[in-house]
Amino acid sequence: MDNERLDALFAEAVTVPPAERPRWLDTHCDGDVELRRELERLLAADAIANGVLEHAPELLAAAMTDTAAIPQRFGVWRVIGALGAGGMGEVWLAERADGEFTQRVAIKQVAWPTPGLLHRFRRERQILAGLEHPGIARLIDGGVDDDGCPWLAMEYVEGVPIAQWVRARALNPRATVELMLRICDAVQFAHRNLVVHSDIKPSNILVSGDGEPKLLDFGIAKVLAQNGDTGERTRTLVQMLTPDYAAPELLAGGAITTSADVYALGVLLYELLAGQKPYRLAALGEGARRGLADIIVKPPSASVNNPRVGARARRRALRGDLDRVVLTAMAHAPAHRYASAEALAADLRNWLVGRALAVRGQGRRYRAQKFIARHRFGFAATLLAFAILLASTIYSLREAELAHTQAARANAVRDFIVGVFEQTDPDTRQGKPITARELLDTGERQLASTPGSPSFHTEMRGLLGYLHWQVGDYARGESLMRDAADHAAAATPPEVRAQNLLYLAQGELEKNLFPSARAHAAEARKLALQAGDAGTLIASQARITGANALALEGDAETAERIVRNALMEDTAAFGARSDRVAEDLGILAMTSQAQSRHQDTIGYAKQAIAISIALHGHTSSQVMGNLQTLAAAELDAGDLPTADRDMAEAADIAGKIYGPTHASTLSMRANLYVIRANNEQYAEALAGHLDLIRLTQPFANTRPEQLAYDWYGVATDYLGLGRYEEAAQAARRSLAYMSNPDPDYYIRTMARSALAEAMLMLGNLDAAEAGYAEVVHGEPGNTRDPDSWSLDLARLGNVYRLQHRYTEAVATTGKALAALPPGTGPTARRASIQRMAALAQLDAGNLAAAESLTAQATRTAAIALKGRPLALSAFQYTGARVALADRRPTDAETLLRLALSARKALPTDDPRKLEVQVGLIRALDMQGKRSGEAQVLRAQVEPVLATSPSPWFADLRNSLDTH
Amino acid sequence: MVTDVTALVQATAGGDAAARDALFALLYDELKRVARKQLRGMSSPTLDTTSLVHDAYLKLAAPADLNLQGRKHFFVLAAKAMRQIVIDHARARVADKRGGGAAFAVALDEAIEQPAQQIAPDKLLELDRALTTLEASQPRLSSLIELRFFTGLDLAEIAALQAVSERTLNRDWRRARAELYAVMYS
Repeated sequence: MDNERLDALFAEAVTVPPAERPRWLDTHCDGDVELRRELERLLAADAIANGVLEHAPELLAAAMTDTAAIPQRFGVWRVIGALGAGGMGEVWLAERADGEFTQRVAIKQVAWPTPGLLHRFRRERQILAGLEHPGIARLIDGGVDDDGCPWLAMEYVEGVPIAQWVRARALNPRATVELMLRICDAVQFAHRNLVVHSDIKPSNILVSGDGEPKLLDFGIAKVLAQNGDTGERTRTLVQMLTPDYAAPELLAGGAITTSADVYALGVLLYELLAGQKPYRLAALGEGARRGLADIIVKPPSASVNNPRVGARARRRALRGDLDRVVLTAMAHAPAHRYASAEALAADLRNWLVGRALAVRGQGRRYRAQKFIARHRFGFAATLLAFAILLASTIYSLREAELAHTQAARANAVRDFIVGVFEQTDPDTRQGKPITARELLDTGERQLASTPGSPSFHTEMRGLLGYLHWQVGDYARGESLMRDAADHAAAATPPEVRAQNLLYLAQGELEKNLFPSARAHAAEARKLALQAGDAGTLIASQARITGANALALEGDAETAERIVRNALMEDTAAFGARSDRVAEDLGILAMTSQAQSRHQDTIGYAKQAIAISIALHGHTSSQVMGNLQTLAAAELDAGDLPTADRDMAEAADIAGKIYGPTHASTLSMRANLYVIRANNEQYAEALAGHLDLIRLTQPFANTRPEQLAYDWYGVATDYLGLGRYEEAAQAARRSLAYMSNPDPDYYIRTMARSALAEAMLMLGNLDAAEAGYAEVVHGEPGNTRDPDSWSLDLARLGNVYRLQHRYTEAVATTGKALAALPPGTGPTARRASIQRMAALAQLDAGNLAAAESLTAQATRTAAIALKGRPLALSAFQYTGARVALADRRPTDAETLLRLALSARKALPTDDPRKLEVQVGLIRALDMQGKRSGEAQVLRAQVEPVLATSPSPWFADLRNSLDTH
Repeated sequence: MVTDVTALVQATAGGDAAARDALFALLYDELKRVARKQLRGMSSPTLDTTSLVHDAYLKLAAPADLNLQGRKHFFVLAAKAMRQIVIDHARARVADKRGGGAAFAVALDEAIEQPAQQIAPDKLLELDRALTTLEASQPRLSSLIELRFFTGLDLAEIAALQAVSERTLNRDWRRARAELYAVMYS
């Protein structure tokens, strides 16, 4: 048969309505019976064909899912079967045949590629492989497969999950507690080696045939989740954890601590004793899930199921002491839990022999409260976790790579930190939460009585000093750090001294003490370079810290040269896609920002962000920091919507990583509201700032600068809204929180300047003068940026003008103009200074000078203040004043109407609104338009002008009366 | 690796049966590997077969090195490899349940309602047999179905590969589908 003819006919036939097809076939087949039968066959098939063949890909997916390749090997391990799948990924049984000896392992393959895992694994491996304890399944090997997905080989344990084991044997509370003691012992052993499990749950504990429990996956969560910083690590970790066993602070994004393991042990014991979990998070509301703060946990005795055999006897056995032990281990605040797995074990032993519990008082308190107390997650625990982390990171690295003496030092540090931790025993604290400073004091006391080498003491002093500094005790912190840094004991290795100096420099940098930060960073770098390989990282960080200080101090050009060199060296040493290179790019972004090269800044910041996303994913602190720089450049480049978007993203990342009340999150948000205020969205900015203050208030002691900055933000928001009394009050609050003693501390000068502006607007010219004079005392020094100093000086000149001290006004604004660094470009500050100089010249009677300055100011403002109508209205008003003086009332009228529309939302007694209205009346009068509008305006304005004794208002009244 | 695959594809296009077999074996393994990789990265166990084939293409072939003819051969063979993987799996699954022809449409309809559900293995085997039958009489049409059904390429992509107009391909598709259903339900 002719296939092409069939093809053509079929294609046409399907377009014919079915009812007409028989007739159509009659005509077109022309008696060819075979052709007709073929066509009918195809048409019938076409009628039942459905869309399946087109939608097949999704349908095939399931088939493919089953059939996807099973890996054959992981490194030296040959897969011999599947053990199952869990939250982390898949588990395989594998073996390695080495001659006559066969070893079996369980291989866990993680479900997602984890950047940097191999590096972290090597770092942790030494410690994890050294965790030799009969109750702990050892980590044996690890690697990544061709696709970059990591795998870990663990000792294979044949056994039954503990909950099943206890149920199957109907263990009584006594036997259960004895089993639990062996688990506590294993956990304590790991904690002493500074390894936290962080995912203790029944399925991670197998009991072998002879009744020995063994914990799986010790330290694995940390290896898998560890990333650049604590917040990120916790976030990744929380995704893998079984939330029902995770401590509240972990769920809230807090640090991973040994205390979280104590909590999980509590939940485990609860479940083994009561036969059910204390709570299921999936069944709880979002709010409860976030903090667990409101969950009422019944004592285990109240959870024993009725139908259970011997339920009544079991309830009786649990009621009282065992209830208390469990609830203490599960306390919401880490500081209220048993201080260690050992302390938990001690009380379980007390119970076994009928002795009084160590926690009796606490337990009663909890029972009385009938809920897990809503104590704020103790800052102390975070701090301690931080200390442990720091020490374990530094020392595990060294232990793996450096000489034996240093390994001994590492052990000393661990014992020391664990010792501090154990001294925070809740019994001796009688339920009072420990503060960070108390903890540090304990640490210092203990250090004094701890034997050890001089270099160990030096090291610990430096660490304690840094932590003191972090909690705001600068004096103590500095003295400890300096002491540690200066300590020249021959035994102190150069990298330890370098690290201490770097701590000092970084602390100083945060406090804007730039010259000393620079000096200490330089010293740190010198020492670090002497230390060889052990100092490479410190040397690189020290150089960047130094450059950063230099840039912030004002010498961005030199800083930039240094960082460019660093960028080349770091690219060679660490690779183009490395944290070091990303950090260098981030600093370059800042140095070019300092030189107003906004496009360069945007370019560098975007490069840095791309590297950090590749290394750490989008939700990481590195991405957040560079988004902030990016937003700052966009703000300065006048691209406010993009700046808002990027800053909001940075704030969002901060919230995800650190939680809502962390200092970084709050300062990111504060910057977001600065951008909104710049965008003249004052009401939005104000709401945001007030919310920030609410969140920051509880940390007033440790974060006074943040509150000072937020209140300064509130002051500028109120200034924008024309609510000057409130602005003044907010500025005063800002000043009251300021703890930095430097008189030129930038937040202090900004708050003082805002206060002076509020005074000016309220008509208190004397106070405004005094305020500005204080702000610009002396000359712009190292700590004052010349741009903002010049602007404050011009504002002082503007006050002189309103005080009719015209000669001084002209001189002062002229000096401000001259003090602007050359090459500043068209910035908002330059425009404002030009404008105030113009007004001074105008009121001093120099019309020509005023006109030329106004023209300059207007041109500058058009570029620098694009899209900011309220700010631009000042320039329109100035132009109108010049036009009125020049007898060009029509021009003035046009400008004044523009200005008035921008200022119409301000209150009726706002001088900025009144000055425009008065100008408009004059412009209308001058044109002889004695029409209704001028009269209506006059009737509105005159009574308001009469209400205030402000000389500014008097001037406005006079200008209405005299013309 | 990359040049190997390019050479294999070119030899396949030139009619080299050994090269064709080698390439087929390579694709068979690679598709499974890519599938595994995709699955590991996802929270729900569903695969996107289209991106599966594209990923394998990007991984195995240097796209710039292949001309249109080469690309066509690559995808035709990838479709055959996918078919083989799916059918091997279905064979392993089918015990002795045999559905009637009429149930096929019903089963497929149900499957459309729930895309995550898989097509019953015995239905897949039926489809496979029908395709083999069709291949004997209409190799061009069976290859078209193979390409579309097993790789998820859409008609526009296939038209580009085969250098025919989309309109022509639409017509071919309608005919191919009718032929396949005719084989299955006759």
